[in-house]
Amino acid sequence: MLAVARRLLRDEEDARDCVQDALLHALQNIASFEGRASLKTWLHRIVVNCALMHLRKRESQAEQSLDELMPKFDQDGYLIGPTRMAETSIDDLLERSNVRRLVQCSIDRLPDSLRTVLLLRDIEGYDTEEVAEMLDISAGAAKVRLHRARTALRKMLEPVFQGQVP
Amino acid sequence: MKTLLIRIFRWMFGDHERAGPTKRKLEALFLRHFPGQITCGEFERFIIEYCEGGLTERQRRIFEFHMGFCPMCRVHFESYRKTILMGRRVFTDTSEPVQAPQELINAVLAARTGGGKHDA
Repeated sequence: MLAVARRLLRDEEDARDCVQDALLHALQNIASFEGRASLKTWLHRIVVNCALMHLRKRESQAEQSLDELMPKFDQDGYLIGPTRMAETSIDDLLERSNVRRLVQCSIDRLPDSLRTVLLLRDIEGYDTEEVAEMLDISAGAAKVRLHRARTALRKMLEPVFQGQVP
Repeated sequence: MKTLLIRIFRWMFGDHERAGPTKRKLEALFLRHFPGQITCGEFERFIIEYCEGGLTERQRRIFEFHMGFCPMCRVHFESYRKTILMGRRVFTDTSEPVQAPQELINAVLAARTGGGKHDA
């Protein structure tokens, strides 16, 4: 639970507060647990919801423009970008601590609105409909945010894919 | 047939970096106007639906066809896919379980005890 809160909130104190709130919420509402999902799934959902509430309470930060991280096209409509990438497997890449750190730092650099969708969908494993429901947005909006988050992250990791990170 | 077409398209587009402006313009016109072809911009917009399984069979074939011959889109998509997997793996490849700090456990227990007194 703490690991999930840390991922979403990026702040140790906030993460601990969030887990405390989530555990209290779980204890107070244990009677409503119907056993349709596993206890782990139920607690996971509670901590995610608590983390989202914490995020909403935070003052909205001015979000950095992501335009420079979005794909560019030339005047003929072609994607501007490399035509080759290093032939390194994901396993090999992730054995390097530099790469692991870069992936984590890059995710942390994403604006909250995109990072939250990416974490819930790609890391916590919720489907797009569930993510949309948690964030109170449409499924279409969730997909747009997810795509922007992945695209921005992809651009930040481009040096890794080009074999430029030792 | 599909493989042959992709080979022809690769011959047309494969040397993209060294193609002159006229060839590039002709290729771009072809992608914009030839039935069953998409531009790189359209390809990019289709990626999310492709990953979510939201494309029709025909759209999926068009998407994959474009990826088959366009080197930039192929690299873009492959790195997009790797990005998803790496993000997932970085956070899930933890061999050691995260231990909750003792003060957090104490805080929860204290709050619980306080709640019990309040209820009583």
